[in-house]
Amino acid sequence: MPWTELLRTTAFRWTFGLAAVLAMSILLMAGFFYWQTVVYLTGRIDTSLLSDVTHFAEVDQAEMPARLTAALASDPRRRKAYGLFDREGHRLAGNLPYQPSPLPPDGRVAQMKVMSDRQNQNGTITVRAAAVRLDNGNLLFMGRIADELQEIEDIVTRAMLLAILPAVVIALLGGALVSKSALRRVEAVRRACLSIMEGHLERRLPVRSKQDEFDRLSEIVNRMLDDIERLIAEARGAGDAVAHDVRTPLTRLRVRLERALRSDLPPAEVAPMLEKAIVDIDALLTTVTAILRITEVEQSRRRSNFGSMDLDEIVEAVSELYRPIAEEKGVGFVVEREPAPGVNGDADLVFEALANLVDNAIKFTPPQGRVTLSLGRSGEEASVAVLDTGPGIPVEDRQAVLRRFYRGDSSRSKPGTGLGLSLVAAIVRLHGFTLTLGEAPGGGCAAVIAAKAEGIAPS
Amino acid sequence: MFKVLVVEDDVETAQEIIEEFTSAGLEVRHESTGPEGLAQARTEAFDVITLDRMLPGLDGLSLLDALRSAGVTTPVLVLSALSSVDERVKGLRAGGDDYLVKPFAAAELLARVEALARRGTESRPTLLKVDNVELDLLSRVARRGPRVLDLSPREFKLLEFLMRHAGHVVTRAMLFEQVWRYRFDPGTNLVDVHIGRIRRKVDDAGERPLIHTVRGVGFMLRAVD
Repeated sequence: MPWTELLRTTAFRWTFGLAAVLAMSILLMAGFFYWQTVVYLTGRIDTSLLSDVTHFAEVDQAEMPARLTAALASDPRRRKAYGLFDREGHRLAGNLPYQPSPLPPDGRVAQMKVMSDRQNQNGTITVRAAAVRLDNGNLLFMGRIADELQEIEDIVTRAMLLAILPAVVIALLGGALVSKSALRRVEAVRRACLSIMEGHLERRLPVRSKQDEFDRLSEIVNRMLDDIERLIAEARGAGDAVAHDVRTPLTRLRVRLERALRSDLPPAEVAPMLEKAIVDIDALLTTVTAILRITEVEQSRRRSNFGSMDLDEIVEAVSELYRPIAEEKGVGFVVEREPAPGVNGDADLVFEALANLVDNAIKFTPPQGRVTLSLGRSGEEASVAVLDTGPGIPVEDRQAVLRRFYRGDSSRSKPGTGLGLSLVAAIVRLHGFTLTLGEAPGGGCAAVIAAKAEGIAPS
Repeated sequence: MFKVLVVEDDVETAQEIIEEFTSAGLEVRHESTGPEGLAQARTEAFDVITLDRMLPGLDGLSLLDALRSAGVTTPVLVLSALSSVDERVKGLRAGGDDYLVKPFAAAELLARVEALARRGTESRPTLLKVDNVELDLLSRVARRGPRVLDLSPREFKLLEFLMRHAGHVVTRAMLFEQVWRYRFDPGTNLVDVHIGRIRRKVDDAGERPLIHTVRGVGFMLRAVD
């Protein structure tokens, strides 16, 4: 993997930022540490200086030079800068060659540079100092070298450099490692995608168990791929199913017409044959119309006909339309209506979906059986259920029958296109409702449409 | 005899329509462009106009609009390949009286055109009478001879529709659209079952059957002569 690619990764750019932030915080910390130390040390120097000044100011004037000399002599580290000067500024005692100026003789501590007689210095030294005018007019100057402050500064600077450099290096190395692993995962995803694009639709992006942001993205993409795979499989299967559904009656039709053409048949026998042919053609037309209808609903992205629906009214209308059909077949038809929340949707389409479910239920329920159409509420959803006492749908077929144009083997013997459930599924998908197929009490089929109440966004 | 104006640019469709209408005894006039159709409709009186939505020169809906603005109230049946509900609503809102999606069965078109043509002439009585069946539209009571027919409100509507079109074929789609007001293909034998139920109530054993099935097309209520 070339370095330039590493530098381009988001992770590495973030690492750069992080390293800068790290260096900045180390600087701030060291600065604060330095400042606090200096404040503390200065305070200590000033306190002891002031106590010296007070002490010496009370000493007998005549003894002053001797005392100063003694004090300087007992300062092996030569940190003291003392001086006693007369009114004219001549030195009377101390280790300062000249009277430092300008320092107001008010006993306050200030920082200044003074000439020193110390040979190891370049003539001037930085001191914290205070001066007082004595009663006899002499000036007492007392200073203390503040080179600790300089030392502290040096120490802090050194420590800072020692901390910052390794920290930044470590951060950048870590960043490179992280970026490299991110790049590896991108590479894995890229390879998976390429393979999918080559037609291996069953492949999925790698997902680790860690559930990080990469995994979450990959999972979403994988779900999308599931959908795409399903749609493509359905489209493939749909073509086959349609061709199959159309070929059988077409073949039968052809045989029938051929037979009718035979010249030795009396006209009385030809007419019923032609009539049967028309019935076959009508069945074919119905199938094709149903397919077009499903496509129309599936492609209708617009919801211009959506509005508030009264499910109670729709259920009532469906039962009015289908009760005679059930009765005609000797199937009991029960309607249970509980108060349900209002739902947003296209009332005509929802009616069509329910009509299809009820039509199916009646078709598959044997005489003496029962079909129940019920409306109710479950949580924040309105739910419409169609239960029957027919043979039910085998568990392994329940997903399949909702697919486009799927027709279970058992339904091939029944009249109709067998596309009803596909249409219901399309309508339900358009609305963002859910359609669940399960087992009704007694082993029949239970189809339940659940619709979010109005004003609640579909999940 | 009804006079029908067919405005249709597709030669094959037009020929099919004209054949069906002529063989049913209608007088047909055909125009194949929008402007010609409009001119014809404004200068000559027709009982019904069938209008294709896609026409060269002037599309069907604009033609319809111009026609209605000019005060021509002839019933118009709009023919269209556009089947969605929106398109249908658009067609009816522009002043169409019925809407049929292409491709259609010729018999379906004929039944609808005849129903539209009769609508222009029929009165709005409060009592419908065919043979010895009477429908009182005010008290909502149906009788056959002295016998009161026990009909649900929907069955009453269904019988009313059949009686208004007595002697003429009504198709399953017409019934489903105009009695139930639904616009989808109900499949199977839904309409037949409902018809069967009122047939049993209207045509008692031993009585002359009035409700007839017209194979391949629909139903007809007809007094036996």
